[in-house]
Amino acid sequence: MNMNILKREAQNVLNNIRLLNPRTNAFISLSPENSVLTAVEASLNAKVRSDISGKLLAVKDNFCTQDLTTTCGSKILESYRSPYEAQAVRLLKEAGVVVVGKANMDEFGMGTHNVLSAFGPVTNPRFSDNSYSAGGSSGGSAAAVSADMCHFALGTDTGGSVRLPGAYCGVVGFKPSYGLISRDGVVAYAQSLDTVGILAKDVGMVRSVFNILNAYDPKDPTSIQPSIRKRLFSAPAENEITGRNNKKWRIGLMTDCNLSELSPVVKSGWMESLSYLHSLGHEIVPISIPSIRTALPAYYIIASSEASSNLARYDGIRYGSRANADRSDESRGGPLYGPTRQDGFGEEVRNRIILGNYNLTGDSFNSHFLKAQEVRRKVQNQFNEVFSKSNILISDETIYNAEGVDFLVTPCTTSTPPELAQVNKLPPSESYINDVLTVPASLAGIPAVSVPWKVKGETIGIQVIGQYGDDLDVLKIAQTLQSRK
Amino acid sequence: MLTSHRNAYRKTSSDLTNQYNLTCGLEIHAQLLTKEKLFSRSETSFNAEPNSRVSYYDAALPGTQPILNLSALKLALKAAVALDCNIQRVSSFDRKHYFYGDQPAGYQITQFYAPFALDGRLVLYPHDGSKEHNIGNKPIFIRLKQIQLEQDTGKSTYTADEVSHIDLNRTNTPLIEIVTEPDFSNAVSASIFVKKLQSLLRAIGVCSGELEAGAMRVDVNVSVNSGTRCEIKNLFSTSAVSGAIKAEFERQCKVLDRGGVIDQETRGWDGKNTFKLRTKEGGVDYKYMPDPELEHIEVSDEVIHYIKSELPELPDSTFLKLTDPTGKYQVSHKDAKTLLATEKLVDYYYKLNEYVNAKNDSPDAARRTCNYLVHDFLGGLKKVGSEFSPSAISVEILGDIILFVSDGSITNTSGKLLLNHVLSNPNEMKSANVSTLIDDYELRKANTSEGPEADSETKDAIKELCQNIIIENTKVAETIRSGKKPKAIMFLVGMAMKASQGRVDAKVMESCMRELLSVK
Repeated sequence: MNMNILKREAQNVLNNIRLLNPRTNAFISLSPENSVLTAVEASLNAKVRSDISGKLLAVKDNFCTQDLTTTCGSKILESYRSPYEAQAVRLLKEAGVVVVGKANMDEFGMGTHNVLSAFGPVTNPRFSDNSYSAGGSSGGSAAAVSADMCHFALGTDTGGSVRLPGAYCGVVGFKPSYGLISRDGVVAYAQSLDTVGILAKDVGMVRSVFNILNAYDPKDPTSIQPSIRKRLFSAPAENEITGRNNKKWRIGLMTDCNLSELSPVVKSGWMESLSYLHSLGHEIVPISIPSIRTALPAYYIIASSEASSNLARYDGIRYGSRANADRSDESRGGPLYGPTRQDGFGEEVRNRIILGNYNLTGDSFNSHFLKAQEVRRKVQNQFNEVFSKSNILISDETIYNAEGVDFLVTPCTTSTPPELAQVNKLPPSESYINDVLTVPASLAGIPAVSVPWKVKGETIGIQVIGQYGDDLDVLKIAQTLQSRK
Repeated sequence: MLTSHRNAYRKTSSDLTNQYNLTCGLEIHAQLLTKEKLFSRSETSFNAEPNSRVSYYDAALPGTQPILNLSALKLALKAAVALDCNIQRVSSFDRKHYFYGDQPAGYQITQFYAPFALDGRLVLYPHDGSKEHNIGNKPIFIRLKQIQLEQDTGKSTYTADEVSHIDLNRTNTPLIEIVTEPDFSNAVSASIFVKKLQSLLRAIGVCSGELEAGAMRVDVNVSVNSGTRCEIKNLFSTSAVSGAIKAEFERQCKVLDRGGVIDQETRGWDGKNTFKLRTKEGGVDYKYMPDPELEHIEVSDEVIHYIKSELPELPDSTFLKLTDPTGKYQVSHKDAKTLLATEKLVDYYYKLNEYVNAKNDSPDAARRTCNYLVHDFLGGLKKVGSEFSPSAISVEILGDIILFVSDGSITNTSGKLLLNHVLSNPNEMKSANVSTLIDDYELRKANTSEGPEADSETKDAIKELCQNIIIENTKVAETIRSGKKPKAIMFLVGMAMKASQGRVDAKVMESCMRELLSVK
């Protein structure tokens, strides 16, 4: 691309940040403007040639970066600077992408409205009065994309943390299949669920970024092996860009999503999206994943258990903030590092650590943790039973449904973005319900994307879910939905 | 818990203990001899500058992930195969949580729910003991419950200024934890077990076995009459193992005898007594959780087969082979134990024996070669203050010395002189030729044998030498002649041997001396 155009675009982004970041609070830290511009110029000589060279990237603040702090939205890592860079950031930089700043987030990824950040809440840029939720936990990333404060953003999605803010902020939020993008350098919340996600205004951009990041990384023990990647991605995706292709898909209408909690506008948007796909000649088939009702509690048990373990390392000794009481004799006799952790973690993080510890202690390990794993397997099996393809990761290739569907299309959220005033009044358990539509794909480790859909003057997110490894086709359906005239 | 009533403990001086049975099990941590750590690429080390062998992962920096070191798995499998374990086709890692300064992640990765090896055993034979520490005349079978692969922790040290110092060099060093069933009914067999395990792990290159350095660490569980058990942690020597078991047994006996109750406790050992560290009830719940990102370990039959084929001869089979009374070596039990006790000595012996045997195939050559190696050579090494290493003296040099001594070219005394010379000057002897050395130092035995080849000139020389000694020691000679001190003749023989620099057989010298003094 022409360097002058790239530079002009970069300048626009920087202007938008100057103008809108104070209002939205999308960034925790920003790269100096002159270094951004220098890097854009240098992108001509990028190691890897790509169509996103010279574009500006917002990175969620739980990706390790050498140049800026990596806080995870927490006081405990307030001024933490990583000595190394996350693999995803490294790959994008090699492709000439320029980091514009680190995006705000719910502390350690725990939250759905991005109000639980030690650096203040993010507000939704689509509403001029600063009073609406941007969604979370990748709220800063979604807001930055929505307000053109970057060209695309990296987020992490553990139970919906990319898709939900994508839906609220009216941008595309993509959670790829588990294990396709390296988590090396991504600060863990719940590793068995954590995925690197991509947010951008259009599906094409998401796909370009995904193509760069979709690579085996020996540093990540959960990175999918090259042999499996070859089987998944060697066949060229047909009709790559057009969106309207000749292939007719069987699309699942997930009846279990017709929850009483669904707001009318979301319900009608969902139905409209299905009618639209039907009008293009795709077949709509009602299907059921009955276990999605138990998926949500299972998710919160698994995620909090893993989180309580992962967050045990924050003791203030080697890095991060440390309470004065832990430096002296004051806290002697009390729980080790108690003051540091009490002071450094926010209330919701502390709650989930306690919840996670409870799930792993004594008898609750069997009654909660193992039970939740059972539910998780059930969810996975039920997805495998409705898809027309088998899951490449399970050895039993007979589990698929010849009459099954290629994709599922569901709403992404139960409602349009709530007002922050209302959010702040909710007890945590009630805000957990927000994840009910996004959690199932996370438990199953399958690809899911939220794509903006306009209905009755509002914008909601429509979620497309596919079988493991069908990431490119999932994006194709998303593109079809996005390109509705 | 299993109690062996048949093997009731009867060795303590206290009568009290006669009514009580000891039951004891061991938990042994052994550091694996890998170059790199268990889940990172940083080097393992011993006594390196504190915190100089620490990767980002070891320090538990945010965003870091574990990658299993397959060499550690290989060594762990070797140990499990050598210990007759049932290798699990699938095993997995779990996190054991507790806060401590030297535990940077807040958890240790271990194998709690599904260890990689179960149901092994190690047999203690009578010859594994010694006169002072014997297990009787029947083998004892010690069952192993499981072996798990896990991470070591860092080290905390405390200085006088009340500051705790943390060294993460040891963090994430690969360990295996070997857990026995409670099959020990006395302290001696426990310490013999530890010794035997040390030499086994050393022999297969899995662990250095050094207890004092902490490469191997022993915890013991002790209970009496199947009662509550106490754990004694961190025993740093085999004598600490037996000492602590004995002391703890006696302590529990005394408590029970008074009508007291044994509390489940973790205890320490101060060299004389065990002491309470903490009670188990108020202990920590480790909240074991399957590690959410480490893959399960899958071990196929092919891998197990490969590990077996890679394993060197195990010490028990070596011992049988060496001591087989109808076998090739026929080495004494004592010498076989000495050979096995020193790293690489058995191999050296095999090579030495092969070399000697090629030139001297007399039936007792193997045994004599072993004798020379164990007594003269190891004794000589000790004298010059060095330890055995296969490169200290080449098999050829030592073999030639043995051959020259056994074919009578040089006397036993000259052989020793030569050996000491070679041992004290290891560097210049690298390329030495024994035959040349013998000539250079004029050690070749004087030809004093009877028969046609007898050398009358030599005989005369010996006679002259003896006469001179007698003249120089008239008083001694007189006491011998008069029969007052007949044994003093050995003094004169000794003087004569010294004067001849050991080139003459002591027997020849003695008979010449007797002739001159006219005594029988």
